[in-house]
Amino acid sequence: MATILLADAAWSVRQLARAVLERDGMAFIDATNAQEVWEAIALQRIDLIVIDVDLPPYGGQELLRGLREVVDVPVVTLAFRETRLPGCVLLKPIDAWQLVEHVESALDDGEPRRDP
Amino acid sequence: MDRWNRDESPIVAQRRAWIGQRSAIVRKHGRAVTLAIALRLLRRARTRSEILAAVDEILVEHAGIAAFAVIDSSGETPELLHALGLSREEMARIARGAPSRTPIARVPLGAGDWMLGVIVINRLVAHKASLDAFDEELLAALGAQVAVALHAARVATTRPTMRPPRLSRPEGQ
Repeated sequence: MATILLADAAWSVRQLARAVLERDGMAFIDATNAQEVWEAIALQRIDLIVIDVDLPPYGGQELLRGLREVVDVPVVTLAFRETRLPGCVLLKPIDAWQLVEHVESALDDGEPRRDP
Repeated sequence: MDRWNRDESPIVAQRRAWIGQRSAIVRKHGRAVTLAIALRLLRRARTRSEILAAVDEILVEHAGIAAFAVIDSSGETPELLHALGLSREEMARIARGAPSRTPIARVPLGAGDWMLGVIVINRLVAHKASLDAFDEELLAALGAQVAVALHAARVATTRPTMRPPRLSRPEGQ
């Protein structure tokens, strides 16, 4: 079972993603800020990260740069506008099917992960 | 080669049909869940600022609304309760009671004949062309719930507090 870490400050987005991804047979961990992301990565094996580009306190882009030095997992970025970030970008508002499709596709294409 | 094509064709078609059915089910489930979560978020809010923060989150995160204003028109003059993405000029106009210049939609806050105010939607996120049927369903549900929640929050803050009667001390104590 793949473990997904979703980092978004909005409670309702985390709840929606949890409902949709758990129904699709995935394990789900959520984080509301950068510190919780680091804690989750230190404690658990993560197969994929879904991250909001505006994640507090300093934004998802900055966090992703740091994460890529530590873990090698596929990333799906959530954003309100087109961005030039590497990997999958899913535009908000989130459509449940698009989220499932992006996550499954990123898991299929993901390179072998490096455990923390 | 023809034989392979003939053999693969029904499988590919079946897979495509299955993906189509699955996407429809996940979308439908996702929309029902979104609606339920939005209403749960509102029910968790107690104070006016919590209710307006919940409205903000629902409109921005789930309907893709980039600019809007929440207006209370139950008093003598309209009151701008909350706004996002509007220019100062536009906010000043709304605060003066003038109608918004470029509304995409107006969501009445109320139920039946009772109206507390309105949410004026001015702009969507750049990649969204218009509000769809689900957005309209979400906004309609939101309109009634937000009105009730705001009214309840107002009643809770204006209700006179009941103090127990002061007891006079018996003499000598």
